[in-house]
Amino acid sequence: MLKLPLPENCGQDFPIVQYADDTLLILEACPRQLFFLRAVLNSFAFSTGLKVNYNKSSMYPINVSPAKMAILAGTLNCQIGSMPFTYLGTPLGLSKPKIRHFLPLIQRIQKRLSCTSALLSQAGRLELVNSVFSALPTFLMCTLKIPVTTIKKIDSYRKHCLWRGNDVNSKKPALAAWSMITQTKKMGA
Amino acid sequence: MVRLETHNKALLLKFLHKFFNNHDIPWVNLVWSNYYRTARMPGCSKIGSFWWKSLLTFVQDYKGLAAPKIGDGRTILFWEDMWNSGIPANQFPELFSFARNSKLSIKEALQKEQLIEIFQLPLSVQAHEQFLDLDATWGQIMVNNTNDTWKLIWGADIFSTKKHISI
Repeated sequence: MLKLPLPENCGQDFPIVQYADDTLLILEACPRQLFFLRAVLNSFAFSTGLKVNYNKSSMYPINVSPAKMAILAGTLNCQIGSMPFTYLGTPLGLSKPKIRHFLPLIQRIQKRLSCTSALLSQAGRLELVNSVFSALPTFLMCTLKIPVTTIKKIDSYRKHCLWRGNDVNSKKPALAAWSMITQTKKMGA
Repeated sequence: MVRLETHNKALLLKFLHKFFNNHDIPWVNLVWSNYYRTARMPGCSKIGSFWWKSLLTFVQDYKGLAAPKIGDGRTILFWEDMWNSGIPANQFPELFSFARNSKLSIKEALQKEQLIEIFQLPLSVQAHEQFLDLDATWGQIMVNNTNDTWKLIWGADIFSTKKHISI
């Protein structure tokens, strides 16, 4: 019923990515195909009781004119988005993600900084930096090469948390050089 | 504490390991068939999407961590990879200066009837001695039609981010 949108040499499987609660579907920009998709989803909802919330779904055009896109989005009653968008928190687009696309990550780290307790000891803060601040970017780093500017920004939060706690205006100096701290355990840090 | 750059690199090298070992996953097949169908070799020119280009900057790092075992020779550079208990370009520097194509793959070299065809003739005396050495090892090479495999220096087939960071 649904046509394969990609050429045959990309494999016979239908291009669908499903992980956890996110589903990504690639489809030809044709009202008939969308209609079929809707029928499939409806019958799925009917038989299992799991409905698709179209308000939470978005449609992303690839080489489709805006006028046609409006009609297509009307068929499914969903929003029209534009590249780059996020899939499972990773920026997804045709061009290299800009520094501003990493802002959500920076903000997440910033939030953690403001709620870290000033009552923690030095060792407690070190543990916090290692298990929270260093771990937050790991998910993105698994797929993308993170820009140097972003890494510097994250590092500045890590330094701040380690030496100065959650007081953003504190000017307390660091007690050891950053290059020494970031050595591996074997090398002595 | 971890250095984020190192951490990032270690996590991304996993992709290159899958790529060079020709794992049967859609993106590996796509990259091979789209960018490297012709004689071009990965790591010699910057081509592809932003994501692939960013991975290509780590090819040299990956090759420092893994040594190839010859299958059909498609992914291995004749001069710059360590297929012969050493890097031929360093082992035979004079001979290397006579090479017609410094980015030749093993597979292409195998397609020549005689190894001498990959050189700019005539060779100097010193280069000729080195050629005889190289030709002797070249004769012992076993080729089959399977994919090349890249073995990691810590002796495992699976790339481990943790091990890379601790190096």
